[in-house]
Amino acid sequence: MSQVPPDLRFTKQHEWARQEEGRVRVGITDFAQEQLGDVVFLNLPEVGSSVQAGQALGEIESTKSVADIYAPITGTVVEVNTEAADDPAAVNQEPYGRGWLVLIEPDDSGVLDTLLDAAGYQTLLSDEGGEHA
Amino acid sequence: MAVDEALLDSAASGAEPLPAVRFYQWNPPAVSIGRNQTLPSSVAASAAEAGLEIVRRPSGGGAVIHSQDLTYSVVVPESSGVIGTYRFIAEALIHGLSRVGIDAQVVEHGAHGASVSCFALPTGADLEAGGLKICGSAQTRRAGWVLQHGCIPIVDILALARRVFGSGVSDERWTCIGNLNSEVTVDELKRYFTVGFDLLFGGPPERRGLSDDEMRRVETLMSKGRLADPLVVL
Repeated sequence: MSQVPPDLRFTKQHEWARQEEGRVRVGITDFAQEQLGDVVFLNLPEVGSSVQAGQALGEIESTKSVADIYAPITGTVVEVNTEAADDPAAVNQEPYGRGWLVLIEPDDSGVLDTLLDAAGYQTLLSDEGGEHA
Repeated sequence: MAVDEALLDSAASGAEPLPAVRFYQWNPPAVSIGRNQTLPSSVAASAAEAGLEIVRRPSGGGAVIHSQDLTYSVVVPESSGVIGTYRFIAEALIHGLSRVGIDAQVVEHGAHGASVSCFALPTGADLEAGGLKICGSAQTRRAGWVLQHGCIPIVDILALARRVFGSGVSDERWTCIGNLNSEVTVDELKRYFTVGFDLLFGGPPERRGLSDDEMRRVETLMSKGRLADPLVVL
Protein backbone atom coordinates (compact mmCIF):
# COMPACT_ATOMS: atom_id res chain seq x y z
CA MET A 1 0.00 0.00 0.00
CA SER A 2 1.51 3.30 -1.08
CA GLN A 3 1.98 6.02 1.52
CA VAL A 4 -0.11 9.17 1.06
CA PRO A 5 0.86 11.71 3.75
CA PRO A 6 -2.19 13.71 4.87
CA ASP A 7 -0.40 17.07 4.97
CA LEU A 8 0.65 17.13 1.31
CA ARG A 9 -1.02 18.15 -1.97
CA PHE A 10 -0.82 16.04 -5.11
CA THR A 11 -1.00 16.21 -8.90
CA LYS A 12 -2.77 13.72 -11.13
CA GLN A 13 0.66 12.91 -12.55
CA HIS A 14 1.78 11.69 -9.12
CA GLU A 15 3.91 14.56 -7.85
CA TRP A 16 3.54 15.85 -4.29
CA ALA A 17 3.83 19.43 -3.06
CA ARG A 18 4.44 20.72 0.45
CA GLN A 19 4.09 24.36 1.54
CA GLU A 20 7.15 25.49 3.49
CA GLU A 21 7.25 29.13 4.62
CA GLY A 22 5.85 30.44 1.38
CA ARG A 23 7.84 28.08 -0.82
CA VAL A 24 6.76 24.71 -2.19
CA ARG A 25 8.85 21.56 -1.99
CA VAL A 26 8.12 19.01 -4.73
CA GLY A 27 8.80 15.32 -5.28
CA ILE A 28 7.18 12.24 -6.75
CA THR A 29 4.83 10.12 -4.69
CA ASP A 30 5.51 6.77 -3.08
CA PHE A 31 3.14 5.22 -5.62
CA ALA A 32 5.06 6.77 -8.52
CA GLN A 33 8.42 5.51 -7.30
CA GLU A 34 6.96 2.04 -6.80
CA GLN A 35 5.68 2.05 -10.36
CA LEU A 36 8.93 3.33 -11.86
CA GLY A 37 11.18 0.91 -10.03
CA ASP A 38 14.82 1.57 -9.26
CA VAL A 39 15.52 5.24 -10.05
CA VAL A 40 18.94 5.65 -11.66
CA PHE A 41 19.00 9.22 -13.00
CA LEU A 42 17.43 12.61 -12.33
CA ASN A 43 17.46 15.50 -14.79
CA LEU A 44 16.49 18.51 -12.68
CA PRO A 45 16.14 22.17 -13.72
CA GLU A 46 18.67 24.88 -12.98
CA VAL A 47 18.16 27.05 -9.90
CA GLY A 48 16.54 30.28 -11.08
CA SER A 49 14.66 28.70 -13.96
CA SER A 50 10.95 29.30 -14.37
CA VAL A 51 8.51 26.40 -14.29
CA GLN A 52 4.92 26.34 -15.45
CA ALA A 53 2.17 24.35 -13.71
CA GLY A 54 1.43 21.21 -15.70
CA GLN A 55 4.58 21.49 -17.80
CA ALA A 56 7.58 19.17 -17.52
CA LEU A 57 10.30 20.53 -15.26
CA GLY A 58 12.66 17.58 -15.58
CA GLU A 59 12.98 13.86 -16.10
CA ILE A 60 13.29 10.83 -13.89
CA GLU A 61 14.76 7.61 -15.22
CA SER A 62 14.48 4.16 -13.72
CA THR A 63 16.14 0.99 -14.91
CA LYS A 64 13.30 0.48 -17.37
CA SER A 65 11.65 3.80 -18.15
CA VAL A 66 12.06 7.56 -18.45
CA ALA A 67 9.23 9.82 -17.30
CA ASP A 68 8.69 13.55 -17.25
CA ILE A 69 8.38 15.31 -13.88
CA TYR A 70 5.58 17.86 -14.00
CA ALA A 71 5.55 21.14 -12.09
CA PRO A 72 2.59 21.25 -9.68
CA ILE A 73 2.69 25.06 -9.66
CA THR A 74 4.02 28.01 -11.62
CA GLY A 75 7.04 29.74 -10.15
CA THR A 76 10.81 29.90 -9.92
CA VAL A 77 13.10 27.07 -8.88
CA VAL A 78 15.07 28.24 -5.85
CA GLU A 79 16.73 24.96 -4.89
CA VAL A 80 17.26 21.51 -6.40
CA ASN A 81 18.12 18.37 -4.49
CA THR A 82 21.66 17.76 -5.64
CA GLU A 83 22.08 14.98 -3.09
CA ALA A 84 19.24 13.06 -4.73
CA ALA A 85 20.73 13.76 -8.16
CA ASP A 86 23.95 12.17 -6.92
CA ASP A 87 22.10 9.32 -5.21
CA PRO A 88 18.82 8.77 -7.12
CA ALA A 89 17.99 5.74 -4.97
CA ALA A 90 16.92 8.30 -2.36
CA VAL A 91 13.75 8.81 -4.41
CA ASN A 92 12.88 5.14 -3.90
CA GLN A 93 13.93 5.04 -0.28
CA GLU A 94 12.38 8.29 0.98
CA PRO A 95 10.17 9.88 -1.70
CA TYR A 96 8.68 12.32 0.81
CA GLY A 97 11.94 12.93 2.64
CA ARG A 98 15.48 13.13 1.29
CA GLY A 99 14.19 12.06 -2.13
CA TRP A 100 12.51 15.45 -2.73
CA LEU A 101 13.36 17.05 -6.09
CA VAL A 102 12.95 20.84 -6.23
CA LEU A 103 11.93 23.82 -4.10
CA ILE A 104 9.82 26.40 -5.93
CA GLU A 105 9.00 30.02 -5.14
CA PRO A 106 5.39 30.20 -6.36
CA ASP A 107 4.04 33.08 -8.39
CA ASP A 108 0.72 32.71 -6.58
CA SER A 109 0.77 31.86 -2.88
CA GLY A 110 -2.69 30.24 -2.90
CA VAL A 111 -2.01 27.94 -5.79
CA LEU A 112 -1.74 24.71 -3.78
CA ASP A 113 -5.49 24.84 -3.24
CA THR A 114 -5.96 23.76 -6.85
CA LEU A 115 -4.12 20.48 -6.25
CA LEU A 116 -5.56 17.24 -4.90
CA ASP A 117 -5.60 16.75 -1.15
CA ALA A 118 -4.65 13.37 0.33
CA ALA A 119 -8.23 12.06 0.16
CA GLY A 120 -8.55 13.15 -3.44
CA TYR A 121 -5.27 11.51 -4.34
CA GLN A 122 -6.30 8.29 -2.60
CA THR A 123 -9.46 8.33 -4.72
CA LEU A 124 -7.36 8.87 -7.85
CA LEU A 125 -5.24 5.84 -6.99
CA SER A 126 -8.35 3.77 -6.35
CA ASP A 127 -9.99 4.91 -9.59
CA GLU A 128 -6.90 3.98 -11.53
CA GLY A 129 -6.90 0.52 -10.05
CA GLY A 130 -3.68 1.12 -8.23
CA GLU A 131 -1.66 0.50 -11.38
CA HIS A 132 -1.14 3.89 -12.96
CA ALA A 133 2.35 5.35 -12.88
CA MET B 1 14.47 7.15 -33.37
CA ALA B 2 13.37 10.63 -34.44
CA VAL B 3 10.27 9.15 -36.05
CA ASP B 4 9.45 7.26 -32.85
CA GLU B 5 9.81 10.39 -30.73
CA ALA B 6 7.69 12.36 -33.21
CA LEU B 7 4.96 9.72 -32.95
CA LEU B 8 5.08 9.93 -29.15
CA ASP B 9 4.90 13.73 -29.24
CA SER B 10 2.06 13.56 -31.73
CA ALA B 11 0.04 11.27 -29.46
CA ALA B 12 0.94 13.18 -26.28
CA SER B 13 -0.08 16.51 -27.80
CA GLY B 14 -3.45 15.12 -28.89
CA ALA B 15 -2.72 15.59 -32.59
CA GLU B 16 -2.76 11.84 -33.34
CA PRO B 17 -4.03 10.22 -30.14
CA LEU B 18 -3.85 6.66 -31.44
CA PRO B 19 -1.51 3.75 -30.71
CA ALA B 20 1.30 3.31 -33.22
CA VAL B 21 3.51 0.32 -33.97
CA ARG B 22 6.64 0.24 -36.13
CA PHE B 23 9.13 -2.51 -37.00
CA TYR B 24 12.51 -1.77 -38.48
CA GLN B 25 16.08 -2.92 -38.96
CA TRP B 26 19.23 -0.84 -39.01
CA ASN B 27 21.46 0.16 -41.90
CA PRO B 28 24.21 0.87 -41.05
CA PRO B 29 24.32 -1.20 -37.87
CA ALA B 30 24.43 0.85 -34.71
CA VAL B 31 24.57 0.96 -30.95
CA SER B 32 21.58 2.73 -29.48
CA ILE B 33 22.11 4.20 -26.03
CA GLY B 34 19.58 5.21 -23.41
CA ARG B 35 18.17 8.72 -23.19
CA ASN B 36 20.42 9.70 -20.33
CA GLN B 37 23.13 7.10 -20.69
CA THR B 38 26.81 7.90 -20.75
CA LEU B 39 29.19 5.57 -22.56
CA PRO B 40 32.66 4.75 -21.34
CA SER B 41 35.19 5.97 -23.88
CA SER B 42 36.47 2.43 -24.35
CA VAL B 43 33.01 1.26 -25.43
CA ALA B 44 32.55 4.20 -27.79
CA ALA B 45 35.94 3.46 -29.35
CA SER B 46 35.19 -0.25 -29.69
CA ALA B 47 31.85 0.52 -31.34
CA ALA B 48 33.53 2.84 -33.83
CA GLU B 49 36.18 0.23 -34.63
CA ALA B 50 33.42 -2.30 -35.25
CA GLY B 51 31.73 0.07 -37.70
CA LEU B 52 28.78 0.78 -35.45
CA GLU B 53 27.20 4.22 -35.36
CA ILE B 54 25.99 5.51 -32.01
CA VAL B 55 22.44 6.77 -31.72
CA ARG B 56 20.67 8.12 -28.65
CA ARG B 57 17.19 6.73 -28.01
CA PRO B 58 14.37 8.77 -26.53
CA SER B 59 13.72 5.77 -24.29
CA GLY B 60 15.71 4.87 -21.19
CA GLY B 61 17.81 1.83 -20.43
CA GLY B 62 21.19 0.60 -21.54
CA ALA B 63 23.12 0.26 -24.78
CA VAL B 64 21.88 -2.15 -27.45
CA ILE B 65 23.66 -3.38 -30.57
CA HIS B 66 21.41 -3.28 -33.61
CA SER B 67 23.01 -5.65 -36.05
CA GLN B 68 20.73 -8.23 -37.62
CA ASP B 69 18.04 -7.62 -35.04
CA LEU B 70 14.38 -6.68 -35.38
CA THR B 71 13.52 -3.47 -33.55
CA TYR B 72 9.97 -2.49 -32.63
CA SER B 73 8.56 0.76 -31.33
CA VAL B 74 5.11 1.03 -29.81
CA VAL B 75 3.25 4.16 -28.69
CA VAL B 76 0.32 3.41 -26.38
CA PRO B 77 -1.75 5.31 -23.81
CA GLU B 78 -0.34 5.13 -20.30
CA SER B 79 -3.01 2.85 -18.87
CA SER B 80 -0.82 0.92 -16.48
CA GLY B 81 2.49 1.18 -14.67
CA VAL B 82 5.90 0.42 -16.11
CA ILE B 83 5.74 -3.32 -15.57
CA GLY B 84 2.07 -3.40 -16.57
CA THR B 85 2.90 -1.78 -19.91
CA TYR B 86 5.76 -4.22 -20.51
CA ARG B 87 3.38 -7.10 -19.84
CA PHE B 88 0.69 -5.59 -22.09
CA ILE B 89 3.01 -5.17 -25.08
CA ALA B 90 4.67 -8.52 -24.40
CA GLU B 91 1.34 -10.23 -25.09
CA ALA B 92 1.65 -9.30 -28.76
CA LEU B 93 5.27 -10.44 -28.92
CA ILE B 94 4.56 -13.68 -27.07
CA HIS B 95 1.77 -14.40 -29.56
CA GLY B 96 4.09 -13.75 -32.50
CA LEU B 97 6.86 -15.91 -31.08
CA SER B 98 4.41 -18.73 -30.38
CA ARG B 99 3.50 -18.77 -34.07
CA VAL B 100 7.08 -19.70 -34.89
CA GLY B 101 7.29 -22.30 -32.17
CA ILE B 102 9.06 -20.19 -29.55
CA ASP B 103 7.59 -20.30 -26.06
CA ALA B 104 8.27 -16.95 -24.35
CA GLN B 105 7.09 -15.33 -21.14
CA VAL B 106 7.64 -12.19 -19.09
CA VAL B 107 9.84 -12.84 -16.09
CA GLU B 108 10.18 -10.23 -13.35
CA HIS B 109 13.57 -10.06 -11.73
CA GLY B 110 13.81 -8.34 -8.38
CA ALA B 111 17.55 -7.74 -8.22
CA HIS B 112 19.10 -5.29 -10.63
CA GLY B 113 22.68 -4.41 -11.29
CA ALA B 114 24.55 -1.90 -13.36
CA SER B 115 25.82 -2.53 -16.85
CA VAL B 116 26.43 -0.53 -19.99
CA SER B 117 24.76 -3.22 -22.08
CA CYS B 118 21.00 -3.76 -21.95
CA PHE B 119 21.39 -7.48 -22.55
CA ALA B 120 24.09 -8.04 -19.96
CA LEU B 121 21.80 -8.11 -16.94
CA PRO B 122 18.29 -9.20 -16.03
CA THR B 123 16.02 -6.23 -15.37
CA GLY B 124 12.55 -5.51 -14.08
CA ALA B 125 10.46 -7.42 -16.62
CA ASP B 126 12.31 -9.38 -19.28
CA LEU B 127 10.78 -11.29 -22.15
CA GLU B 128 12.50 -14.65 -21.93
CA ALA B 129 12.56 -17.89 -23.87
CA GLY B 130 14.05 -20.97 -22.25
CA GLY B 131 15.17 -18.85 -19.32
CA LEU B 132 17.18 -16.48 -21.52
CA LYS B 133 16.38 -12.90 -22.52
CA ILE B 134 15.00 -12.75 -26.07
CA CYS B 135 14.01 -9.07 -26.17
CA GLY B 136 15.60 -6.00 -24.60
CA SER B 137 13.07 -3.21 -24.01
CA ALA B 138 12.96 0.35 -22.71
CA GLN B 139 10.30 3.01 -22.23
CA THR B 140 9.73 6.71 -22.02
CA ARG B 141 6.50 8.21 -20.66
CA ARG B 142 5.17 11.61 -21.63
CA ALA B 143 1.83 13.32 -20.94
CA GLY B 144 -0.16 10.14 -20.54
CA TRP B 145 1.51 8.20 -23.37
CA VAL B 146 4.25 5.60 -23.43
CA LEU B 147 6.87 4.92 -26.10
CA GLN B 148 8.40 1.48 -25.77
CA HIS B 149 11.35 0.23 -27.81
CA GLY B 150 12.38 -3.39 -28.07
CA CYS B 151 15.25 -5.21 -29.75
CA ILE B 152 14.91 -8.86 -30.73
CA PRO B 153 18.24 -10.37 -31.86
CA ILE B 154 17.86 -12.55 -34.93
CA VAL B 155 21.35 -14.01 -35.08
CA ASP B 156 23.92 -14.61 -32.39
CA ILE B 157 26.10 -11.49 -32.05
CA LEU B 158 27.86 -12.53 -28.88
CA ALA B 159 31.31 -12.08 -30.42
CA LEU B 160 30.42 -8.56 -31.58
CA ALA B 161 28.86 -7.72 -28.20
CA ARG B 162 32.01 -8.86 -26.40
CA ARG B 163 34.13 -6.84 -28.79
CA VAL B 164 32.10 -3.70 -28.02
CA PHE B 165 31.14 -4.13 -24.38
CA GLY B 166 33.94 -6.36 -23.15
CA SER B 167 34.19 -9.88 -21.82
CA GLY B 168 31.52 -9.27 -19.17
CA VAL B 169 28.83 -9.93 -21.78
CA SER B 170 27.76 -13.52 -21.34
CA ASP B 171 25.70 -15.83 -23.52
CA GLU B 172 24.29 -17.29 -20.32
CA ARG B 173 21.75 -14.45 -20.08
CA TRP B 174 20.38 -13.93 -23.57
CA THR B 175 19.55 -15.76 -26.74
CA CYS B 176 18.41 -14.98 -30.27
CA ILE B 177 15.73 -16.11 -32.67
CA GLY B 178 18.21 -18.11 -34.73
CA ASN B 179 19.17 -20.21 -31.71
CA LEU B 180 15.53 -21.15 -31.19
CA ASN B 181 14.25 -21.44 -34.76
CA SER B 182 16.82 -21.21 -37.51
CA GLU B 183 14.16 -21.38 -40.24
CA VAL B 184 12.10 -18.29 -39.44
CA THR B 185 12.60 -15.11 -41.48
CA VAL B 186 12.37 -11.51 -40.32
CA ASP B 187 9.34 -10.96 -42.57
CA GLU B 188 7.57 -13.89 -40.95
CA LEU B 189 8.34 -12.51 -37.49
CA LYS B 190 7.01 -9.07 -38.43
CA ARG B 191 3.85 -10.62 -39.84
CA TYR B 192 3.18 -12.69 -36.71
CA PHE B 193 4.00 -9.81 -34.36
CA THR B 194 1.57 -7.67 -36.34
CA VAL B 195 -1.13 -10.30 -35.78
CA GLY B 196 -0.26 -10.17 -32.09
CA PHE B 197 -0.75 -6.40 -32.02
CA ASP B 198 -4.00 -6.76 -33.98
CA LEU B 199 -5.28 -9.01 -31.21
CA LEU B 200 -3.94 -6.67 -28.53
CA PHE B 201 -5.64 -3.58 -29.96
CA GLY B 202 -8.80 -5.40 -31.03
CA GLY B 203 -8.40 -4.99 -34.76
CA PRO B 204 -5.96 -4.51 -37.60
CA PRO B 205 -4.01 -1.26 -37.49
CA GLU B 206 -4.51 1.58 -39.88
CA ARG B 207 -1.41 1.90 -42.03
CA ARG B 208 -0.43 5.53 -42.36
CA GLY B 209 2.53 7.72 -43.17
CA LEU B 210 3.76 10.56 -41.03
CA SER B 211 1.67 13.72 -40.95
CA ASP B 212 3.20 17.03 -42.02
CA ASP B 213 3.56 18.03 -38.37
CA GLU B 214 5.25 14.75 -37.55
CA MET B 215 7.64 15.19 -40.49
CA ARG B 216 8.51 18.67 -39.25
CA ARG B 217 9.11 17.27 -35.76
CA VAL B 218 11.40 14.59 -37.20
CA GLU B 219 13.36 17.22 -39.11
CA THR B 220 13.62 19.39 -36.01
CA LEU B 221 14.88 16.52 -33.88
CA MET B 222 17.41 15.51 -36.50
CA SER B 223 18.59 19.06 -37.11
CA LYS B 224 19.17 19.51 -33.41
CA GLY B 225 21.11 16.28 -33.44
CA ARG B 226 19.45 15.41 -30.16
CA LEU B 227 19.05 11.75 -31.07
CA ALA B 228 22.71 11.43 -31.84
CA ASP B 229 23.87 14.22 -29.59
CA PRO B 230 27.37 14.41 -28.14
CA LEU B 231 28.04 11.55 -25.83
CA VAL B 232 29.26 12.38 -22.41
CA VAL B 233 32.20 10.07 -22.58
CA LEU B 234 33.69 9.16 -19.23
